[in-house]
Amino acid sequence: MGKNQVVEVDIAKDRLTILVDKSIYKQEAILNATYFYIDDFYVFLSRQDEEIIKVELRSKEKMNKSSMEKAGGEFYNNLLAEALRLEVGKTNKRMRERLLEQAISSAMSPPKPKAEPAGSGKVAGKESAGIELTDELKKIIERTKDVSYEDDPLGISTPIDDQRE
Amino acid sequence: MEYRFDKSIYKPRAVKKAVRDYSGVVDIKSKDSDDYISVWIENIPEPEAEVIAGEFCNYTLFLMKAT
Repeated sequence: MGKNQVVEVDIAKDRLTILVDKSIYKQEAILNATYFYIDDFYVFLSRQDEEIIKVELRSKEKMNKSSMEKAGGEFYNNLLAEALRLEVGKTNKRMRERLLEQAISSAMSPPKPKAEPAGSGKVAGKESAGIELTDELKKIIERTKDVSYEDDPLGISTPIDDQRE
Repeated sequence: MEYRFDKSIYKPRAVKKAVRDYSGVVDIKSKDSDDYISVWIENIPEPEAEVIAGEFCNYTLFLMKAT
């Protein structure tokens, strides 16, 4: 008997039994996949042996054989989607943590220093303590270090009506 | 009817909380073993017993996700 398969469709009892190989799908992915079914099915998991988890889905409403088999097939699709989601999450974990660190650090940064005199060409508060600047941020700071809001290169402060005249 | 919740699959805390939550509405008892927690729901006639047992299993899964 293969390790991943729908082993039983019991129409009389509205029950679907699915075996899942833990060496292929992580237990967390199996659990996550079952959550999709708790609206329409009663879900029970047990261990068949060291490697196999048995998933029993019992339909809340009467279902025909075709629908039960379809649910079984979809279970594997959901299982695959959850397995992929876990992998992607693992890969991106470091990036998410770094973004969160920067966001929190930015929120907790000390008050900005006094603004530089107008026309001095300097912009205050470009670097806040506690933030690790990425290369992209450093480039932006370099490009804008001599720009003052009064220069208004995009004409933002000029009302639209005045611009049309 | 006895339901065995394998501790390597179901979080014991979730099972025990589900038992506590259901104890107010049904006759339910549990027993903790090394590998699993056994749960019995009693004094409920069929087919309601299957429905309640099924909802209990789903509720336990929900608690695992929530906690």
